[in-house]
Amino acid sequence: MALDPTASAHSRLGRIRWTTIVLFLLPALALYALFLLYPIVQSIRYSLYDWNGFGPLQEFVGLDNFRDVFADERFRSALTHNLIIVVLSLVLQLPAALALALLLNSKIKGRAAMRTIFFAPYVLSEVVTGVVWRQILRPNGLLDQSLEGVGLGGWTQGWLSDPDVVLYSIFFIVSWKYFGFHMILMLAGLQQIPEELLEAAQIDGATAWEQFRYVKLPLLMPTVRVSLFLSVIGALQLFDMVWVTTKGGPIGASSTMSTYLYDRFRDSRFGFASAVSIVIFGLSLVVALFYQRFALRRDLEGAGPGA
Amino acid sequence: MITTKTHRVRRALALTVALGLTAAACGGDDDGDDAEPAGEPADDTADEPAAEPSEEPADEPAAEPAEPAEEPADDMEAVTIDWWHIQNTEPSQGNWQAVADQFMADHPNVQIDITVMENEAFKAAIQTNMQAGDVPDLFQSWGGGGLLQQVDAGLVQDISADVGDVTGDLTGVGSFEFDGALYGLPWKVGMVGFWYNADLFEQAGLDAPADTWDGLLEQIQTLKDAGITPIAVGAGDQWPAHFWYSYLMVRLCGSDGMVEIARDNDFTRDCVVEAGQKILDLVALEPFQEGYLGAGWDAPDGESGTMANQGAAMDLMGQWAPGAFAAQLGLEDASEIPWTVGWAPFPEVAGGAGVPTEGFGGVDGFVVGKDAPPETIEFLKYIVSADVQRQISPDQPLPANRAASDVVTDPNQQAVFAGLSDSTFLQQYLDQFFTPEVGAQVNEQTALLFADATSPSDAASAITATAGG
Repeated sequence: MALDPTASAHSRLGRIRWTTIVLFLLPALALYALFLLYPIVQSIRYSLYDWNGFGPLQEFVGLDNFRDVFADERFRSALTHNLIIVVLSLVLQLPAALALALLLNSKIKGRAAMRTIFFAPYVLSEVVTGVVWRQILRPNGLLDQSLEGVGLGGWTQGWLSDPDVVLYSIFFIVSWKYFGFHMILMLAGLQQIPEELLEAAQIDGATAWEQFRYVKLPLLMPTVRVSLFLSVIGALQLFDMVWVTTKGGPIGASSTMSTYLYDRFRDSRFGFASAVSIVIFGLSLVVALFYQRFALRRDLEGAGPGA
Repeated sequence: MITTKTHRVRRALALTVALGLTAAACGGDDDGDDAEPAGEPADDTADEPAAEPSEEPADEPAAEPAEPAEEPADDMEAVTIDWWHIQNTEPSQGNWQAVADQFMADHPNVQIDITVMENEAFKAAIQTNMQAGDVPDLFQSWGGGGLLQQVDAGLVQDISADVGDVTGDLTGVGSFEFDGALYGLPWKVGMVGFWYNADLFEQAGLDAPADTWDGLLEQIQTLKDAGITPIAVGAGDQWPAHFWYSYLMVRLCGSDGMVEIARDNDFTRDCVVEAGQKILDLVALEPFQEGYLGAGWDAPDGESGTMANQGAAMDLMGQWAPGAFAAQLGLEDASEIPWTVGWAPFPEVAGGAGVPTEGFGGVDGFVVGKDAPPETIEFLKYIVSADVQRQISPDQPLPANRAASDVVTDPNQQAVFAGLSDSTFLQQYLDQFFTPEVGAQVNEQTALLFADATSPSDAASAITATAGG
């Protein structure tokens, strides 16, 4: 921020500066209002009507749409799928990313190359990733044939067609794509830890585990918290990978709130679908605010010119 | 619920009209000169047929509705027709362009702007445009419940008064008609049936798909015993599976039953539950290709790809199937498919109210937008004329115009066309006949049945709940 707090003594000058700031912000604010606030307000309005997308809004139904959203078993199972992905991401994907970051932060041979390789999936587009994995996981595809080739034919599955398996396949694909990103985040965090602290720990006779547990991990926590936050929000809004690979099927076994939402738009239930979108928006907002309030607060303190 | 009583009545009306027209189709008049409908001689009864294409409509204000500001000068006012279609592959796309070019050459004052989109993209885009009230002048439609929503919102034009001279030749007009008002015309018709691999059937010692349901189930076992996957289905896309469920309904409920279902929006009748049970019986035989629950229609690992690569002996699909098989194999034309393609109608089901002449299929048509200039209707009539139907037919089998029946040369397509022409009733695809919401529910429940994840009566109740019956 260019605003220097010490200048506040000259209040007149301060006022002029504020005017300038507001003037400069105006175009951005207008765009923000037009393309973000206005659509949100409109969605809220639509969500109160039974509306098929055509013609004027006529049938006002109050909060009925919201009641129906939560009453719909398909929405609840979609929400469950999102939560499963959230939990799996936190329990499996983040620790894996952290472990890999630790490994690639140490001085091993070819680590630059490995960093690039692990990060590469993140650079691919979602759609390409989805299509490629769909080909690999299809019945008698690369994976099934490889398993058979090494004598594990019994392990073959309907990776994307068995309702009991498909969600985990999707989780795997999403993790495959995003763990590199989280790894890079943590790697950056690790490299900010001053070398002296580790040296001091070594001199004090700390084992590798103790160095990790008492020096690296605490200092890495801000990064972990950001990584965790992105992971959770990403999992709650998961759409494109699911859509490309399974469209939420078979029989809704890999649906997420977003694919459920999109399906309702395709059913031409715009009022109802708007209600779904508000629910998703609300959920993400609540999670984000709580997280900021309780987890990220320490990290954000002193990060800007106070509130 | 948005589905009001009037909708139901209208839908029933539309259906009965469809029935009447298809019945009329049986008498197909094939007397050569297709350009002129054998109607009134036009001398007396002068005031009735408002649109007379024979002479110059120079000073005829009645023919040009709602445009009094028009200059009746020697040079006709320039108009633009905004036309959306979904024939986005060659040669169809080029053929359609040629059709537009010809019309423009004959009508120098008309400019036709074409927007070509892929099917799904079209469906998304048309929704958005409609909401903004920006309706194309002429656009692809499948009629039925989707169109009814647009009719109710006043987004499309009643063209009944202007097309009376061409509807007599067309199959499937009823899909575009509500309350006796017509909003578009069909250009392509189709019917669902078995596309089968005659080589694989022969390998199992069979001839062709049986003409009874029980016989079909026996054949499935025979094929399995011969190590052949009997059926390919793209249950992941849901709609290919819904052909099975729906056709069983048509067979078990009969035309009367289907009309009543549509009228009452009530699927909780015995014949529908029975259809669901028959699906479960079929699924229990495990006749489908591996991973069918996640398979789509048109993909290498989908229904068309499986059929194309001889991974299954038959599938239940519309008349476009051979083209898709060829595309999967990278072939230009269905005639190059390296195995023998056969077609057979859906079997009779013992104890059902339906008869074999009751078909299940659909139509493709064009609907006229609310603000379209009158020339749009002329252009639409031109599109559905026998000449144009012949011109586009090589890549678009089964013209709606029966006068162009001579273009159907492939024996399989002839069989489908004959089935359509002989049909006493054509039930439109349920996912297009009802509103998108109900259609999606039909598809969803079908997928659940194919996964053996619901009961026949629960499926019927779920659809009824969505339909508001």
